Amino acid sequence: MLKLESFIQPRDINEAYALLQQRADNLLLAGCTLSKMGHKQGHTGIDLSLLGLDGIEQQADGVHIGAMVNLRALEAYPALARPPYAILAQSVAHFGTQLKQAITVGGTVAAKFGPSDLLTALLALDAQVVCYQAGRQSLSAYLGQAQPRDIITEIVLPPSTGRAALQQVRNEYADFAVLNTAVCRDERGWRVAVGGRPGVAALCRQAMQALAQGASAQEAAASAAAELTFGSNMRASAAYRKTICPVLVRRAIEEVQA
Amino acid sequence: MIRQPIDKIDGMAAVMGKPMYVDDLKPEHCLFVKVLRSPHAYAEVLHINAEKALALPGVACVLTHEDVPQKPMTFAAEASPEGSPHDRTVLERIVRFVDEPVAVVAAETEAIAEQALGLIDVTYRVMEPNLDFETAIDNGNPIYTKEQVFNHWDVWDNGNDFAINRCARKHRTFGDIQKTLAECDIVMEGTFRAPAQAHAMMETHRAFCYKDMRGKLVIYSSAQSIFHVQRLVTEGLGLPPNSVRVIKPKVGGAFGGKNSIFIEPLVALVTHKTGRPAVLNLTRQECFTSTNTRHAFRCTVKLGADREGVIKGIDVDMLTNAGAHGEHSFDVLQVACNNTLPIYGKVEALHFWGQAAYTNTVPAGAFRGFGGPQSTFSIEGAVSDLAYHLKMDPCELRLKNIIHENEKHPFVAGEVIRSCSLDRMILRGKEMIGWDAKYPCRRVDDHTIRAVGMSIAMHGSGIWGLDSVNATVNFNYDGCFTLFVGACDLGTGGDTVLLQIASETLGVPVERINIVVSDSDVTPYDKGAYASSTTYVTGNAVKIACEDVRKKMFEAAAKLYERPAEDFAIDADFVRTKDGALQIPILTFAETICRFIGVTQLVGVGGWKCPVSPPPYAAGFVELDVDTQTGAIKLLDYVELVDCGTVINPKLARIQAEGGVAQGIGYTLYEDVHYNQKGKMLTDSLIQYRIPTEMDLPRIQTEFIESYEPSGPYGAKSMGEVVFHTPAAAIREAVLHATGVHINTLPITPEKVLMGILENESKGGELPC
Repeated sequence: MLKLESFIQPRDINEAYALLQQRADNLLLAGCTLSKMGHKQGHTGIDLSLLGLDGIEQQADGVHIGAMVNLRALEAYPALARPPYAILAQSVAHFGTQLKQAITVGGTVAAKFGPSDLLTALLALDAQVVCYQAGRQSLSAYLGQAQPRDIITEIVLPPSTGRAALQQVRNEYADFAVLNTAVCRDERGWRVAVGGRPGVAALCRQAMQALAQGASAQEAAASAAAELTFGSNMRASAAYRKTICPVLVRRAIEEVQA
Repeated sequence: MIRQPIDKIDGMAAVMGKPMYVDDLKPEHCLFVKVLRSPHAYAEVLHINAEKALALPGVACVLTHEDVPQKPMTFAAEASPEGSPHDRTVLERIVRFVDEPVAVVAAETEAIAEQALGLIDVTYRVMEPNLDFETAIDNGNPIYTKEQVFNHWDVWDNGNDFAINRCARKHRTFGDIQKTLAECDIVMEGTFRAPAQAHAMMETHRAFCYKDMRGKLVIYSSAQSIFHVQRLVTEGLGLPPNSVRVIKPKVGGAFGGKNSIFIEPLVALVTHKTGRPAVLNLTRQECFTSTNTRHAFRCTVKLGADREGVIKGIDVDMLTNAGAHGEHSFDVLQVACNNTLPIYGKVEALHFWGQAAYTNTVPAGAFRGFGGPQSTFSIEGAVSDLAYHLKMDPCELRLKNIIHENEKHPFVAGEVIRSCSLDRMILRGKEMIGWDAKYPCRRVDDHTIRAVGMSIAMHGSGIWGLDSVNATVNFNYDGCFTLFVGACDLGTGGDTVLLQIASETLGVPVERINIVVSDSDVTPYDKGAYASSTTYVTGNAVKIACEDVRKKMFEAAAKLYERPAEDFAIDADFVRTKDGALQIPILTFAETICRFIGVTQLVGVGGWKCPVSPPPYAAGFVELDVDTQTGAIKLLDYVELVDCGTVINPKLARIQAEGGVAQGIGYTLYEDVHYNQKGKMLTDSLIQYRIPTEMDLPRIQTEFIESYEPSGPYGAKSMGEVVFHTPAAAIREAVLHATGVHINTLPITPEKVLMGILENESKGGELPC
């Protein structure tokens, strides 16, 4: 359950940002699907629904997805139905519609949730994160470093006419992934992302470089497993994750190459 | 009406959202009860300071162990006297598991009650908990003292020895097991384990209480036995007899989880002290951490056979985790022994040694199967291993050894199995899954192997010698009947089946029969819904009561129409003579005898005590794929054969079977329990504790092969529990066929499968195909 002293729905992003900076325990609210399952307490909840951040638009520099776009809108957007973007809808196919209508793209990115399948897919598509104050950075950089308190306004997917594939293992159909991977190859090269380690999705740069230099799927997959760190949790051990990582990465690469 | 697939009588109402459940019916201006729970796994409550909480506006009371009798009782809502150790009180001074109740707060709103919880100061003396049931017995840290436990040793030899943390013990033998095993050509040995399972019923535990106009405490509870709740609340609060009335409205699932009194005494206590109605609805988290679970277990089985595969001896050594309190632990060991071993009929010796250990974890209790699943997984696992070792088709091995109708077994009440279609079930199941073409396995692609596996199971119907149920049926002045039963329908459709039995016996359509259920002031005594009893045990009482009222109707007709009583029959809307000479509309007949001319309201009475507990049987077959590089399992098909005697309602029986298989699949593949090192449960939500979704389940085909049980109503037995038992061993066997890996610890996760495959490889082994 999420407990708040007060709740505001600003119509102006300046106001939202100012409120966020006012107190360390003021919280941004998007879909709240993760936060309401915990025991969080905050002061003011700053709901982002009225800031007009829920549009998707194709522009010259890529597809601009508003931070408040929910997963249902994402998967239904026609321009994202084709390869390689189709892995976005695929990555959330196991969620029910009610959940998809609540979860937002911006909320998913901000949460940096370890087993998130969507983050792994976004990473493989070389997504860019645009924040109100900080401006634009790669998703890889956003996930890899601690971020100052800011409001994500949109995610941008660079233009791509490549192919992509997902692979994952989960203990139960609707459970968090034990490990997930997304591989994309397009005009800008290869990207290999692995998430649910249980750490959040990360790019496997050595594997990507190996592929660029003509390594086999097997070699690249082995490289991915070697360069990442894995941990144990209730769902699986580090040893298991490390063992299946090359299997999943290899299968995804082979699917892209097929 | 027998074998008619009619809808549940409240099915449409339930689907349309009619207010029928406990929380829908609570009175206005109820106090909301919240429970303050121990953060420690084992501690003494030294002092509770509730001043600040009581000062909060809207708080009606804060109650603690000082407000309830401290005489040890058991929460097990079953027999009286009860075999479970009596080792708890309504509110405890010594808390023995994380989230055990320490105090209750009642307030005008839930929010105020929650706030008040945070204002109660408790001082604890924290003690070292026992968290591992495998090392708890005789570890020098007993969690009970003599004053804190009471046992009905005059009636039940439950083996409770709290000085060594042994909650219960069961020992049963037949023949000389050591001698028999020594003479066997082969002895297969295996040790099997599974964690505690959560019931995860859709409606969590909830109850409310109010004082009626004469000061009686009326409890509405989502419960499994109204009379046991009545008795235990009276005892637990130290009230005089006839102080408590218990009513069960519609229940949204229980599976045994509501077979103990977790919250009824708490709401009754609040109403008793304040005079005001009070309601307590447990959150899902509280359901996980503070009610009860299936017994986690470790079981070693030694199976002795000759080289033809005839099983001569079975030696079972079982240890279960009773958790912090002992309700149901003794009986679970009883069932693990008595309701599983009799499935193999050629044995010359049997040995069962079972113990339940006290630990500072969530108490285990009643859960569909009640020891049967644990025992079945272990014994069937050893049988699978025997077949694998002998390179024998496991269906053939089982067919060679199973008991048959009219055969005897020393562990069966009444000795003789009077109804059993298990042999036909195995053959039919093979047909339905395509066993011969698919056994044992085949390759699908470079990383997928497809295999089949199977398992058989039995259970009991009611508890022989113990179950007592009654039913009464009134013939009303309007030509209709009212059936009164104390039985508890848990969403299973029990009321519907009883109505069908009544309709069949009376000879009138179901529309002519009202059914009034589950009210301790109104309905006659019934033990409640546990041990697969409603159809078999209460059904018999209903049949007897209906036969009794028919007899009385014919006697009244004989006097009225001057014909012998045996000449009469009931035919839908008529009372008539068999020769057709007289035909009186049933309404006219009723009016005549009940009013104006007559004054007699006829009442039929039926009581039944179980002389035997006829086993129902199940045979489960599974087809699945194993990903040999990740260990992931995909279930493709499940076939469940059931022998429940006569199938009173095929539609309701089918969904029971499907539900049991689904729940068994969850136990086998997905459900796991984790605690931290301080004894706090980490899998306390449906996000962490995974129950199967529709997408996890394969097609489940169910088929019933009827036998006829002479002691059952119209030949019926039971099926509520037996349908749970087969998935675990069937899936384990299929995985064994696919990979050569013997997985003996549930849940069977991808990790366990893959690690098993890699371990075999490292020892020079190969995949089977």
